[in-house]
Amino acid sequence: MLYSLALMEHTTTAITENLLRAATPEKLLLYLADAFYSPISGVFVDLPVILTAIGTQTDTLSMVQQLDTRLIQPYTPRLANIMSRAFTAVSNVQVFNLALDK
Amino acid sequence: MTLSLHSAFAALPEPTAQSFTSADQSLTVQTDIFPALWENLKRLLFATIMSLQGAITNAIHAPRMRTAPFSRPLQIPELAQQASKILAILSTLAFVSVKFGSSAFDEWNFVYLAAIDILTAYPAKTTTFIESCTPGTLSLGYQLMIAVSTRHPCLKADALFFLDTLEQVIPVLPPSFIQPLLPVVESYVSNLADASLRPQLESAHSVFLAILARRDIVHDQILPYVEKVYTVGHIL
Repeated sequence: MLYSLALMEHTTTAITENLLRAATPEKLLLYLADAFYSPISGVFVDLPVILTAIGTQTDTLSMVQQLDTRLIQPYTPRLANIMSRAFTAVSNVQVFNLALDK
Repeated sequence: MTLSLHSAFAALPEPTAQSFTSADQSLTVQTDIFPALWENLKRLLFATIMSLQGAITNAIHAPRMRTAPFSRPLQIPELAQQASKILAILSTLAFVSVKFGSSAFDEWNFVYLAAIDILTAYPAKTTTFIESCTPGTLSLGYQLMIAVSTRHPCLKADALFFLDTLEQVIPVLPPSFIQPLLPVVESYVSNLADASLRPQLESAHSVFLAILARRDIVHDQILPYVEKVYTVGHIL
């Protein structure tokens, strides 16, 4: 899903605009906030783990390098751009706050 | 998420954290952990700032946007609360953004200054934010004193963010709130032993000048302050 969104944004931004209009921006915002910052499965979830592991026996360099091989990694700016537009379009205060909390 | 990242960086031993913050040109992304990690942290910072640009744009236009039947107009305290959350996110990522220099980059500046602008419209919320600016349960002054003595890059970045933010919000803070913070600010003005604390020194000077510009507090401190400034200039 995340990859599809990134590809849509890559192909033509009009698709994302239509998506923001068709689906509620609230749902899209919460989905993306979770995809980026979830402490269980977020795109950046490994960064605190790697920081904590520095100085231990763990091969932290290969851990970081594995992050770069992820399919979604080059598309994070595009996804962040969609999240930004979703943030702008949201009118539900609770959802807005929840996304910030995430 | 950014909070756990901040905690993880703060928990690093000081020499390790120093290695991360010092730019060693001989290290490469392919063979060394710190440049490789830096690339990923930059990616996180840029993605977060890009997202927050949308959030802050929403907050700026909030009163006009709340037109849907299920929505209600945002109240100032709610806007201030959101601005406070945005600033809290920026503060947890200060150890990354500090590597870009004092004012980071344009997008960061926009989010930071717009959030401060919204927050300062509500002085009580501003005071609460400044109080909560430093993590932990210790009092603010004590935390920052630790930052001066330990030189841990995370605490130094936190202190710089705090001092920069304090300078921006000084005009709306009550004098009774500023007074207890003066020793903290002065500790940075006086601290000349470590050249790596120069950004904090400069920021503390700006805070002091902002306090003096209010004209309702420490106006009797102008001469001692000028004397201190000349001392700083002489030693540096």
